[in-house]
Amino acid sequence: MKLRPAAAIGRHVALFPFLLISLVPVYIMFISAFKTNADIQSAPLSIPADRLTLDNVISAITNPQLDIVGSFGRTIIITIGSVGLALLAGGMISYVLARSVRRSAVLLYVVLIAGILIPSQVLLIPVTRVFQFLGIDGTLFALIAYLAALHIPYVIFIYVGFIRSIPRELDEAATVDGAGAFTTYWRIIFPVLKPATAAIAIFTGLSSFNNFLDPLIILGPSGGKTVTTGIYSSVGQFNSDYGSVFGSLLVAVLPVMIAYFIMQRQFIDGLTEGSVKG
Amino acid sequence: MTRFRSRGLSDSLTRSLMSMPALVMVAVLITVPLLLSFYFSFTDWRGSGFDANFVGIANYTRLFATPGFGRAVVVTLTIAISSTILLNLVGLGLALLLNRAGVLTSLYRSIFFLPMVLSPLIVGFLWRTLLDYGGIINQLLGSIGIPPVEFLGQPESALASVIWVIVWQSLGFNMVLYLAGLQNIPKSLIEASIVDGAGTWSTFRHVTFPMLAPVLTVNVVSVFIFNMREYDRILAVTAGGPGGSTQTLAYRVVTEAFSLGFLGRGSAYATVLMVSVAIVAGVLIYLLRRREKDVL
Repeated sequence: MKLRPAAAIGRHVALFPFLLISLVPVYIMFISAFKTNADIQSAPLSIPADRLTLDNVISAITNPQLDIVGSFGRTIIITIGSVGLALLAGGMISYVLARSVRRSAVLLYVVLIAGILIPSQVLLIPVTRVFQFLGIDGTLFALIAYLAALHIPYVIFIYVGFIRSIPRELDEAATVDGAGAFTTYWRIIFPVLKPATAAIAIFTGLSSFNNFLDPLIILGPSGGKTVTTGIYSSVGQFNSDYGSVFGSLLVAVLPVMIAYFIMQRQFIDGLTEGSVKG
Repeated sequence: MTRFRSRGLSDSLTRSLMSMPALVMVAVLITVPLLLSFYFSFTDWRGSGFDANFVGIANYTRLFATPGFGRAVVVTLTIAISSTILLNLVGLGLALLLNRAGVLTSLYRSIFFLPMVLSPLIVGFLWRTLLDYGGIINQLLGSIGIPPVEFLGQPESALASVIWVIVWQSLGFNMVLYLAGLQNIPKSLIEASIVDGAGTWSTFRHVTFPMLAPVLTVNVVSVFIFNMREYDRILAVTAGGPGGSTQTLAYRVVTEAFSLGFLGRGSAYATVLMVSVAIVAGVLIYLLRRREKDVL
């Protein structure tokens, strides 16, 4: 087919307003983090090169409400812990389910992936009770275990689909060599699952990293802050000091943004993997 | 082979043990809480100790009688339905434009997708600040002679603002899914339709759109289900206000249980939310799957 230049230009013209709508808010957050409130108000889109300031960013970094070092530290531990646990536990059961032809295994698979539908808000009230009963309420471990459990249905959904596409001959070759199911999974199957593991890690990792309500409720007031709960306590109340709000928001999103710009393709593929499969 | 087997565990025991960690986690942290939530919805539990008294359906009768409940249902459905329609219409439109944007396609794709990786809470705070009465949007409108708008101060505009923020953040996601769907349609099909003399619209209506049926199912179901549980962006943009006009069922669960301490009543809201999600998911998946069979 011949490309008509007029149509091509038309496409870009039509896309342009959407591009602006996507980019301008992010642009405003970036530049306003380095502007005084007076400049933000009087010229929201401009960059006054001679009056830029680091005050907003410095006050965000030093704000005890945001507790930048502690909150990023905790968030990273929670993210790695919950993703690792979900991959570990979810991976093994996926292998068992994918390789079983029993009706009970198929039924269990369906019941487990239906868990994707459950909103966390439905579980939060009783789950705090369960953690009190177990004596681990308010701990990072409780939050990590809960987030991992919420991730497991999704992990199973992606992994089972992927494992079913791996020929059984691979398992059988390992069995002939004397390897049991556990060894076969970790030595033979798990390495082949790498693309699925990467997609799951990005999806569940972002969801843990960006989660707000679960850490707010499960960690409670004394369990320490995560990035999102820290942002909630530092800019949550209505705040007309725009400069400091933008400074705090920028500090909170910058690491994710940098990661996104380095690995856009992996992020996009990882986040859409489940839906493309579905 | 027997030699190795006799040293280790039997195969079925090994497989059971491998399933155990996930099953225990799901049972303790999802299944038990789900049942407890249902149970607590019939009690007057206030959260101190185990002193929950069974009160029958009192929480539900009380719930259905409060105006806040009906409003939360309407707000939940308004947000879910309008964001589903907007995200699918605009997402598909952008995907069609991008499908042949050439070398710039992946750049556009990355830009549109960016908001999707940010925390919904932070995106909410960003937009709350922009939409504030004395904020930057009104400042920009003022510079082209438009009087300031009370985006977050009036019930209807506050709800519209929440929907806007959801659409702004998630658009790239739906667009990427439609784009992937478009790129999976064999070029020969489209060309054949054009050779047959079909125009652009007719090709879209009779070839492209039907071929997208499975993608449409995923887009509609996932957006609808996930926006039924919307909480973070509402909290950040409007905090449920003004006057409770942007509170969803999920928002009421959290408010009743954790701000007001009525865990029994919060659980009743949670049960209503869970049942609505299950019904909507079931109906949507059934209807859209049937549609896929009809159009493909």
